[in-house]
Amino acid sequence: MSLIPFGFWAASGGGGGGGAFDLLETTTTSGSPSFITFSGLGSYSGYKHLQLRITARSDFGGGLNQLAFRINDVATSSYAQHSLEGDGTSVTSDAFASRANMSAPDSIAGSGASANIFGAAVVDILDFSSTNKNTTIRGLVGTAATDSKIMLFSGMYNSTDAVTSIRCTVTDTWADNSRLSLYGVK
Amino acid sequence: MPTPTYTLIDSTTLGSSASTVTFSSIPAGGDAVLIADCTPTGGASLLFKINSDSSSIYSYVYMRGNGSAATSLAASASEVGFLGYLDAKSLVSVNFQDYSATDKHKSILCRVNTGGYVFANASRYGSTSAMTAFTLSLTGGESFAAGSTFYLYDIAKAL
Repeated sequence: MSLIPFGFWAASGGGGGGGAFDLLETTTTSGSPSFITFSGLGSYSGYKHLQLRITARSDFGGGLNQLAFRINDVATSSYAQHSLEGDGTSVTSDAFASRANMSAPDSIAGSGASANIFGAAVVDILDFSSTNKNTTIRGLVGTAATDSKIMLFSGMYNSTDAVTSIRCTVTDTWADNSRLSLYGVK
Repeated sequence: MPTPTYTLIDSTTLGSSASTVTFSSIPAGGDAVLIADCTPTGGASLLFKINSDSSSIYSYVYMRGNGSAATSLAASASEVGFLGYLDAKSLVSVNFQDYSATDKHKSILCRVNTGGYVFANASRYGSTSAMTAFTLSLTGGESFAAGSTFYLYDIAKAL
């Protein structure tokens, strides 16, 4: 039975048709790659939205590290975002009008976290094939460990180009057994 | 080749109030997503246990807002997981990431919208055991009211 989910809140819809939410690609890391890229996304234009579901750990020291995304391998200051985050003590908000990626700093486990601890992220890339609007991205990401963080972020890729690739990075390199899965939503 | 997913594992609609809701014999899968539309019989914290495990291996961090203040709290070595506080009809969405993996602790992301609060929460079950069951409960002797619905889905991670 397949239903029609959207974002964090799945709205159950007409079942039985199948293919409204499909796993497109999945990767489990090994050998500490510096980035994971989902490319050739133009072939998924039959889907309206994309969702990334990630279980992540970085090889960099410290308890928490950054998770970041780059669209179409554009590294210029083409990204704007705002975020709301809690660290167990206070809630803060940040905003950036122009930066080189879409990022969730200090949000996923680093090598300073105890073994087997990974952070998690669910990220939506909305209307990714549109050439009429800038691409909107939103995400929920967090890690509960000695150093903890919960973060909501959203923003845009300041271009009307269709999204054809998503490059996913963490501070330093991806720890082994991190898992990144890409889904299409019709 | 795309793989259709977001498959219903199990669901329950309460015919009468219940102090706990349990999903058991959960088959192996990728990510599990729980969508609950539930009402507590009184204001209470929403708790969970995985695999009936009461060891002190649950951790969480949350942020919440109530219209006048935003606060955050973290805790570790808890005997039960915490998802949020319910004080009215509530919408609860819980992501159990890589719930069948045996090389990771279980990372959990949750959103709760209730009468007086909005919550976002990251939790961790500090065990590499695959999740095969979980139980939801409320503090203070409160129950989930009749009519509350709980739907559990699997999102595949393997093509």
